[in-house]
This record gives sequence, structure tokens and C-alpha cells, in this order.
Amino acid sequence: MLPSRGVIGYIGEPGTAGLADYYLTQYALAPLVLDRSSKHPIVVGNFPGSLPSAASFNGLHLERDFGNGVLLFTTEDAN
Amino acid sequence: MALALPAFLCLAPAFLLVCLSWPRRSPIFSDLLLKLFLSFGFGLGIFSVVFFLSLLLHITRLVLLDLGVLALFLVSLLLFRTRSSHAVETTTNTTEPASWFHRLLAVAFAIALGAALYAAVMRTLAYPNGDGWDAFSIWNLHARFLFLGGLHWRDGFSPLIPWSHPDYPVLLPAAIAHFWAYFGHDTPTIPCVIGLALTFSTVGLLFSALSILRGRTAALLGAIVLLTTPSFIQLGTSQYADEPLSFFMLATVGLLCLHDNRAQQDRSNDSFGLLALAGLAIGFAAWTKNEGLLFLCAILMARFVVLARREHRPRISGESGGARFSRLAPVLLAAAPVLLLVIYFKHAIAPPGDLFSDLATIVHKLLSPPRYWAVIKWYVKEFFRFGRWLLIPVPVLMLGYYFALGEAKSVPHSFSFRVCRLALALALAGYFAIYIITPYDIYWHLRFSLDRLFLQLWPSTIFLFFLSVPLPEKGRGSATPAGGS
Repeated sequence: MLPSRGVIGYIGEPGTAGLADYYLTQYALAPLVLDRSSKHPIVVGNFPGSLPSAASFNGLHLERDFGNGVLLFTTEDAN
Repeated sequence: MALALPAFLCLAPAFLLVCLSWPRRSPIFSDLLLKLFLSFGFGLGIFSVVFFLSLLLHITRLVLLDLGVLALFLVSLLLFRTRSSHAVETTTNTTEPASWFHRLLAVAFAIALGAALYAAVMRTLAYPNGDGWDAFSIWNLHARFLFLGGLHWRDGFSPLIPWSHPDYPVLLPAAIAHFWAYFGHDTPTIPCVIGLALTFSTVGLLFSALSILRGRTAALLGAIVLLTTPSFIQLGTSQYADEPLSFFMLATVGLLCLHDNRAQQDRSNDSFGLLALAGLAIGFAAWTKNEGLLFLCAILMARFVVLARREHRPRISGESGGARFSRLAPVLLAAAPVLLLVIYFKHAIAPPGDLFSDLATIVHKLLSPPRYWAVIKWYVKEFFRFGRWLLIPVPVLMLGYYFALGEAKSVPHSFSFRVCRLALALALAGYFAIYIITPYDIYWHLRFSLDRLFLQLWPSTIFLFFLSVPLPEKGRGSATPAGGS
């Protein structure tokens, strides 16, 4: 589902509250580079606390919900 | 067992290199302990450089490359390390009947070592992925990119993830990745083992260098002070790069002082190899962290300042200031290959660092007195607490001891001793300047890094302290402890 190389997007809790989750996700998914932005064809969502409303994912198409707040999105108009 | 082959290929070339560079008039097995502990750090450095070059040159047969490096050093040793017919045992560590004080120190050392080992192993088991953010957000993350990235390993130094400090040098990540290549997967065991090995190698290096230069009492005292610094053990098991950096700083300081000691005892140029090893240690320090580059500048500046002030009068007859400058050549020549690699990394791979903003902002901060006051306050606070001692901060005890007893009159400070002492002070001043101009919130930056910067210099400080102060020991190794050249 994920490419083996390159840059993908990342969304999670905003601000410093979500930094640790972001860093850990980057560590887990290396050698992929996770840009903390949804402006990529593939975006990983990580919300270990609580999922935000669906409106927050505007423009993102949910490909798969892995549970525990881990989501995989695609976008068609990214770039 | 899986660790045995890469560990051998890591340590053996380094041990051969150290033996190759050691004074020829020394018996091959002299200073064995010091050579072994030096080999741990140098081995990691060589392993790191070899792996990084294999990535740059797209060499996939890593075992052959490692065997080639081993063969190169072995052949060099056999060709160039011909034993002198006048082998001289220059070690000052002669035996003497153990007094009650020595026995007490030995027991205290054993207890401190046991407690430190227990604490380190328990912490490693509790935090197998490192304790603190830097382990997984910088060092081990870079190692994963180097190991898993294949042809795209440079992605790990992308400006898209500036928080991972992609401008940091990669001695530690590349060494970890090299070991992982032998395992075939990125096991957390490797960073754990490297952290433990280097922590106790630093203690061993301090012990063995002091033992040669000042005798067993100084060695035991120095090792006890380092082992009973709680934050040193904690940092060593955190999988940060500060501990490897402190190893290379201590190796530089110890080897420079040892060179002066040997040069005084044997006036031939036999000990220039020690200068070359010191240069290599400086290079590896710069390949470990950016502070290593600052340390290099501090050593060079201190050397020129000490020479310029002519505080030290040459003891070797006929040795001029020019001769002392020429002694810099082996240091710089040995450091040069690694420094070139650092320069290549900085210019061709890493994005610009994050500490230097535009000139106007830097000047504005430099002219802001409250920033100086803030850093001074934190320096004073950290002086008392960076080691996280429970009762009395050890630096206070050491300072009190120094002011009460002064420096040992029988200890003529060598040129390198003075250089290293000034270099550590200059490094502290350099850290100070960086805090003044930091683009980050100054209190945040001080809070999360100053204790580690102090710890980088701590083993070298302990070494120089016990090299210079009077000790309750007579008749052994105190005639020329710091080298009198």
C-alpha cells in the first residue's frame, strides 16, 4: 500500500501535542520521508487519542482504517 | 554469536592501527589496556567511515570491504612496525606494595564499577530504543535511512524533516547501520550494545591513560569520579551521540599528553604516531557531532595561544617554536581524511544547519545583555547539577581540592596539558557563544542541551584534573606524569 521510497504526507494531532507521534511514525516508516502536510498523493493519518470529525479530512479519500487511529488516505488533486 | 564477526571486523583493524601508530620502542604488549579501549572508539569510527564510503561508492559486498580494510592494516603492521632492537619500557606504572589507601580505592572502584554496570544494563533493558527523543528522532532514524534506504539513503537528510537535524554528522548512525547490515535487520540490540561499550570504554580509557601517566591512585580516583556521575551512565545508555563524542575528546586529550610524556623520555621522533592517533580522534569527534568541529577549532586555537604566550619554556634542548608547530602536522594529516568526509557530507548531502540565522539577527542577539545573563545563570546552575549527584556536586569537591592543595609541584605541566586545558575552556566558551545566537528559545535550548554539553567535556576534565593535582601517593609515576616536554 505504501511506496518503498519517497515522500508521503502525514496528518495527526496539530501543534506540539502531536510531535512525538509524528516523530515515532517517521521512525517506523523510514526510509519513507513523512512530510507533515496533506498535500501529497498518499497521506498517513495517526490519531492515537481520538479521531477528529470527518470534515477535518476534507479533500482526502480514506483508503483504509487500520484501527487505533491509524488511517491511510489518498488524494487525487495533490501536488 | 551473530555479533562476533562484525565486532571482530570492527575492532581488529582499529587495534592494528593503534599498534601501528604506537611508539616503536615500546614493547608490542605495553599499554595493552589503553590500546584496547582506544580500539573500541576508533573501531566504530573506521566502521562508520567504511559503511559511508560503501554507500557513496555503491559497494554492496561489505564483508569483502571489511576484510580488505583488515588486511590493509595487518600488512601495514607487518611491514612498518618493525621492532626496535632497543625496545624501552616507558610505562611509569611500576608496582609497589598496596597500602590501605590503595586497597580502599580498589574496593571503592569495584563497587562503583559494579553499580554503574548494573544501572547501565537495567536502563538498557528498560529503554531498548533509547531514553529520550534524540535516539529515535535523530541518531537511530538516520541509521535506519542509511541501512534501509538503498540507493535513496540520502532521503534521510531531507530538509522536509528538519527536526531530525539532517546536518548532524553520521559516525554513530553509519556505525549502527554497518552492524545492522551483518544482522540483516535493524535490531535495537546494536545501538544498546554500542552505547554500553562506549560508556565503559570511556571509563577504561580514562583509567588506563591516567594509570600510565600518573599512576594507579589517580587512575582509580578518576574512574571512580566518572563512574559515580549518574548522568554520565544515563547518557551512555540513552543512545545519544554525546557519549561517543566525549570518548573522542578524551582520546585526543589523553593521546596528546601521552605523546609529550613519551617524547620527553625518548627524544627520537618515535612517538609521532600518538599525535597521528590524536588527530584521528579529533577527526572522529567532528564526524560524530558538530561540537566536534568546535573542539577541533578549540584545540588549534589553544595550541597557537599557548605557543604565542610562551608560557611554556621548551624543556627539550634545541626544540624551537617551529618544531612545536611542526608537531601539529601529524595531527592535522591524520584528521584530514575524516575532516574531508565531514566537509563533503556538509556540502553535498546535508542541508544547512539550523543554528545560524541571518547576520542582522545574530548581531542583534550578540548585543543583547539579557541573553548573556541568562546563559551565565544556566552555566552556574549546571555546574552544580549536570551530573545529577544526590548530595554534594563533585565539581565543587574538585574545585575545593584544587584551591586547597593547588597543583602538584612535582608535576611539570606539559605543552599538551596546557593546550588541552585551554581547549576545554575554549570549547565551553564556544558553547556559550552558540547559546547567545541560538535561533531557538534560549531557555528551551539551555534546558535541553547544556547538561549534555558539560558531560561531553567531563571525562577530559577529570583526566586533566587528576593529572595535575597532588595525590596521596609517592614515589610512583609522579616524576613526569603529564609529560614534561
